[in-house]
Amino acid sequence: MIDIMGWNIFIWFGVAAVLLSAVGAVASLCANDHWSESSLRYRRRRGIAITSSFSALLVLAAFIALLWVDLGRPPLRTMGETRLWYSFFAFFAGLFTYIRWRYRWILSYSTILATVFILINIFRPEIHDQTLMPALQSPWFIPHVTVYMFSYSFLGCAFLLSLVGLFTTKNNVMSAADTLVYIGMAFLTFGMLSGALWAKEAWGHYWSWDPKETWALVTWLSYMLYIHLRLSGRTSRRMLCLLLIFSFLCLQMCWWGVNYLPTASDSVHVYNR
Amino acid sequence: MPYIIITIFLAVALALQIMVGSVPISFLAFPLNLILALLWAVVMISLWKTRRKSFFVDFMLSRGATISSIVLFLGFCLVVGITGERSLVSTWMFAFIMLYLQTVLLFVILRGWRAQTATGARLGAVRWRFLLNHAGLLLAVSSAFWGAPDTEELRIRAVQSLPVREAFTIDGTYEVLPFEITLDEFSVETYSNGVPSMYEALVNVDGENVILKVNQPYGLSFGRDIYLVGYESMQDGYSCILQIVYEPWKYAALAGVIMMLAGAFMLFVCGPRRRNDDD
Repeated sequence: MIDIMGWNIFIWFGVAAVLLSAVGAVASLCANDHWSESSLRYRRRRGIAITSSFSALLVLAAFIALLWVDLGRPPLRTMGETRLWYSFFAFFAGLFTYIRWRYRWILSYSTILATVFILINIFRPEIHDQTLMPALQSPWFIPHVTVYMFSYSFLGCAFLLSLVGLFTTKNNVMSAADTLVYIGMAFLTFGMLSGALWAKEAWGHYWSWDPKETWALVTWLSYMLYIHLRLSGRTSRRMLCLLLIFSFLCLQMCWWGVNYLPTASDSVHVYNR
Repeated sequence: MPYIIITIFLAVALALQIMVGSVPISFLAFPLNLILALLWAVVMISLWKTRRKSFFVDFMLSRGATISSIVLFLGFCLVVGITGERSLVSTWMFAFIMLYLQTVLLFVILRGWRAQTATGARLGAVRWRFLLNHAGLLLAVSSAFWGAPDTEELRIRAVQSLPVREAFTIDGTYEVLPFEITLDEFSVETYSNGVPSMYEALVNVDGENVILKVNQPYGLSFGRDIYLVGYESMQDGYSCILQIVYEPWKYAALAGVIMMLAGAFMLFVCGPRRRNDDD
């Protein structure tokens, strides 16, 4: 294997992606809400925002592809590798939301979110090149992990919006959060159910109350509660934002918190020890 | 009002737990579980048909019932998640919570179905999404709930070219299989550092040659699958650990999972419902 490949060169890709994404975030912020959407100045800034955010996405995609080739297996195993996908999907979620709903703050949130995870990977990378154990060699492996990372990034954006929602009275914050939660929830469901189907194939049972499974269910139910409270429309904005924050904390527990639980030793989901 | 009902409800579950201990799961095996499940469904549906204005139906369809069923389930999972006590799933509290959830789900599905057939095309997609998500969840949850007493798991240690009939349940009870299992061939592939990358067993089950790998079970009969779960290297060759899982309700659970996957896809495609479309 070539030495300059893999995580050694991540710093260049990571910094480039963060800078490009930051340019996109600033450009979208500079397009004032009061400007006409057809005006030249609005379209020009929106064009810059989309192009440079998309470039950031491509830069990370290129690194993921290089890493994949370098490792000779899909980079979906260690926490460092899932953080990489998370930043990738955070860029994607932000760009998607910006293109579809023109919500001009969202690119800043997704940039911050992705930057945090890129920085963790630069300063504290888990570069253990562990080989893939037999149980993980399944066609379910890639979809199961990627849909979860995709969902986490949308729910991460919803979390940032809920922080904003605690201090603002603008109504469109909650409806943007709804959309992000619905997308996140759809992929959370894909992740959980693909996990159940895979578990039946690998271990014989759809569900076995493994710590990771239990926390995935906690997360799912917590967002489910948010959706139902929103539908019945009688809960205060403050409560809803607090619920989104709580849900996101449960998600963190599910994602990496369970590894530090005393019960983690009997979890089938702990691979990188 | 919902608080009082739920408190009484949980108090009864707690009293049962203290008096008789955990749910006697094996006692509820087929056909008793099927009879009870059908009885529950028939009673609930007839209440819906004949006593729609009753307090019970009204309560099960209320916002309080929906929210409290999610909160109770969430609270229970939080306790399991924090304590790591899987045995809590065989308590009466959990059984009551799951029964409550299923009852709430059944009533909202019945109401949703009536709305779908009554209003026609205008709310079509969102109604179908609602039905797929809720009916899928009900099917998955109820087949896991009512099917739990019928689920069996046996472990077998097979040594190369030595027919075996002995199996052990999870709690170590010895059982004799109605057929013989022989491990004919076993192979392990390793990475350069000696860590196993793949292993595979050629097993003869009841006269039939079967290839087993991790993630690749073999279906023996209705609801019964055989798995390769591990191996040990011995002085002369290998012994492997096989697992036979009997889960006759797995097809219903699978149907529920597929419905929920379709519902989740529609959650993504249709997005949140606009506020003024609310019931």
